[in-house]
Amino acid sequence: MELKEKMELLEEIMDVEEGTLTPESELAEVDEWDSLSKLALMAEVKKRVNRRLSTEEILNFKTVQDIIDYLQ
Amino acid sequence: MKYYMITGASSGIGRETAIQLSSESSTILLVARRRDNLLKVKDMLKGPGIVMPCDLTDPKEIESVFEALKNQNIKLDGLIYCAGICFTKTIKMMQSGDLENMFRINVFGFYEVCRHFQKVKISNAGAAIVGVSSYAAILKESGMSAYAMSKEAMNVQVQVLSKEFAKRKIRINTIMPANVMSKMDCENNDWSEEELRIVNSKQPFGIIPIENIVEIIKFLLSDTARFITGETLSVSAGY
Repeated sequence: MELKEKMELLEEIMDVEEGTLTPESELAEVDEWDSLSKLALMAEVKKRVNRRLSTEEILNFKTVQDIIDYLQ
Repeated sequence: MKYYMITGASSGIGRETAIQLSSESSTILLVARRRDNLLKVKDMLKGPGIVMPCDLTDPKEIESVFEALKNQNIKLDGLIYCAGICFTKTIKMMQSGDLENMFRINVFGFYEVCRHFQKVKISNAGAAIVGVSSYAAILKESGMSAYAMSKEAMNVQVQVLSKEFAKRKIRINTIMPANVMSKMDCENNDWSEEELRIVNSKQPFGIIPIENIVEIIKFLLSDTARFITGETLSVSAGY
């Protein structure tokens, strides 16, 4: 997945406007990075690459870049 | 420029709403199954119109419509859901699949379209939704189980979603007209003399002109109604 695609995916999941998120964005500062978004991300990962994203892995995401790196 | 999506735009209340809402500064997104019918309506508009054929019983087609909007960088200011079917059948006349068919367009279509509509990339804050429900949901007359159930489902939907949409100030309401002088996709399409007589006997204020319903829809979309949400507005005509 290209960077642009990944950003669009995260924007979809968190229901935010284009440009709201940057790779440097701190997830703790993003209101929309809530339990609903986390579940949605887990579902997307399962659907796209048939991998199980664990709660521990999610807790380790500190920035948007961390998620981008995970979505290899 | 404002953008309003109207489903069921090819006939009846949907078509008249499209015509009355259209203007130089209001683009109408016309949604219904058939392109040819939508093109006819587009010609009648007082401003820009975009034809978007869609089978509202197919979530994939609904998704395509909203993808197309995103690609054109169009954000919606309003949604008027006029698509719907009606039939009169007592439970003894009902067949397997009848209830599902009624719900598919009247309820599931409305829900799915709203689900897309509420996304940040799709609608502007302060946008408004009007669903065309029916006074039949109140009357609950014999023969109307499927129809009344579907229309009441719309009513419950707007009452719940009004709370979920409040954060972005998106308002969602229904209108519940009694009999309207309009062709719905009903088994009995034409209002015969006899039928009109019966309606007038039950509905003291007489059959409702379609223009009046459109005026009320426009009111619900307007700035005057900016504090009205989760409302199910009856237009009983005295029924």
